Amino acid sequence: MIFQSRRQPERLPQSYIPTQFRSLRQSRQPATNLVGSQLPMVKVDIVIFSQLSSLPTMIQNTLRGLDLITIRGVTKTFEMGKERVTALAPIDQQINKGQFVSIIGPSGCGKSTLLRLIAGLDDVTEGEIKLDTKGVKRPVGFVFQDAVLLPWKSVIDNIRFPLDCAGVKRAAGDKRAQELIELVGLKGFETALPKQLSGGMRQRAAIARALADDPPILLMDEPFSAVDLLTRETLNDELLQIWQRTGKTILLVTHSVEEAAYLGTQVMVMTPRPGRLKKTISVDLPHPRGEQTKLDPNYHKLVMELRQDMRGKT
Amino acid sequence: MLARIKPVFEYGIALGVLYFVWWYASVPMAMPKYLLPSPGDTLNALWTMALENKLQPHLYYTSQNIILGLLIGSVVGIALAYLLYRLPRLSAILDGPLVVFQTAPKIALAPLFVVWFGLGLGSKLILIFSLVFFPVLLGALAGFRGIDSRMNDLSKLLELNIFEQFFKIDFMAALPGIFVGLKIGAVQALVGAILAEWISGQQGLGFLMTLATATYKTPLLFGAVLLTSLFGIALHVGITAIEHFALSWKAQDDQ
Repeated sequence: MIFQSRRQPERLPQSYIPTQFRSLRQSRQPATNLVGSQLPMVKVDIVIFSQLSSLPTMIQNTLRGLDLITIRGVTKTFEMGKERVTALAPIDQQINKGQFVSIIGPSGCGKSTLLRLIAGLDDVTEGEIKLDTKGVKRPVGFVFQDAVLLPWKSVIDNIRFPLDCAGVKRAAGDKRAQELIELVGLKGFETALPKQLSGGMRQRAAIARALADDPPILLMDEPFSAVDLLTRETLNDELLQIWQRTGKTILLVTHSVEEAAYLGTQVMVMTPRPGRLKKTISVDLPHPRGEQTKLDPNYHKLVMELRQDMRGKT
Repeated sequence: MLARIKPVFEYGIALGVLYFVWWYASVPMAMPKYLLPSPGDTLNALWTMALENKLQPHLYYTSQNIILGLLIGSVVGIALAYLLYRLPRLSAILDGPLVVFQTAPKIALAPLFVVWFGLGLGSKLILIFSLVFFPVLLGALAGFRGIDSRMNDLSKLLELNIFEQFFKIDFMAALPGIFVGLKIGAVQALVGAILAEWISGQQGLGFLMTLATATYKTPLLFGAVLLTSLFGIALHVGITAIEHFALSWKAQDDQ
């Protein structure tokens, strides 16, 4: 099996669990498959803990410690005048540490809303989102569709801004900002103002800023949709490198199925009105990914499947 | 370089033409001195006063009032603008009253301010304040309301408190709007200061004007008018310079 796709099962088939455990030993990111994004949490808990005891202790511990983001029964409704618009139907999902989760869906499916909820920018209407980030002051970095840099600050000042706000000493902040500038490939542009940069470079600066105080989670809301295709591909590769070097957990909202498949270790497919999670797909394409990935027949199969999922009715 | 010299050149030509017309009407056309004193007479009147140290206190008094009024009016204007921006409900309540106060002829209220707040500094500052406050409020409000909503998201992500958000992000982002209000406010402050001195008081350029009128010292009246205009220009140039410095990141062509 190349990808394990999860169609909402009404009831969990008994044969299902062992298969997942088998894949767990082979694949890099097994736990989400196990946890079962679409299942009501109660059921899942029972499944996990009844089955966990039969597993080796090491794997048990890993499984328990891996959940970084837990989304339980989260809904979101907006008041639009007199009407209440449901942006998100109840969503359950668990996201493990170190994953690169792509979230795709047609516009209006609430994928950006979900990201904003995880970031704490908006409040959930029902349910809860738990981040297992004890002791981390600011657990998420956020990258917007446009860079949203402060236009009066230079690149390095923008990147250092979160550190300045957190009261980090100037020298330490500068050192960190310099590292990030090198990480995102903006060396030589430290003192440039945002308006002097191209769209792609601005977005690199925004990524560096989001990483400044080393949050374990990086949330990206269609970060590359405003840059040209060529730059976008470069940025995709660089983002993969950043992900591998920093070990961050990344959630990336995109409307490009190719981007979702190419970058993600998992793809969450969402459907609109009201926004709900249709399925979560594990991507088993090997790492590191690059040009050869785009030639991989499995990649094309996945892209096809995702495209059908996005078009098809639930 | 040329861009730097250009405004000086333009101002220079405008002032030169004005000076020539003035000189031509007063000297070759020989208008009576009580109607139109010559530039020489006017400067002479100012110079004698300055030598006797009688001019400086008036200048100082007027500039102090203008700067104080401008400062207080701007701070309160920006603060209220921010409050209205942050609290849409307050803005809905205050919109009506603000329009009434804004359109009320403050200059016509000036005598009333004297009745209420006395002949001293208080009534003068209140008049200047009332004239400065509204343009700054409107400019700042436009500036604040033009801020990208994702700047708010950024503040939220960085967990900034309201003061940090104001000083680190919102104030800077609204500066272009604030300066528009400030430039109008500065001119208004000058008008307010002179007007207040016309009505009451024993000091200032406005007082000097009423004194000169009452005693038929037209050259002195002209001198005071001249100083007031120069003051206005200096104020404008000063604020523009600060604006250039503060908004250098916004300059159109800095490649």
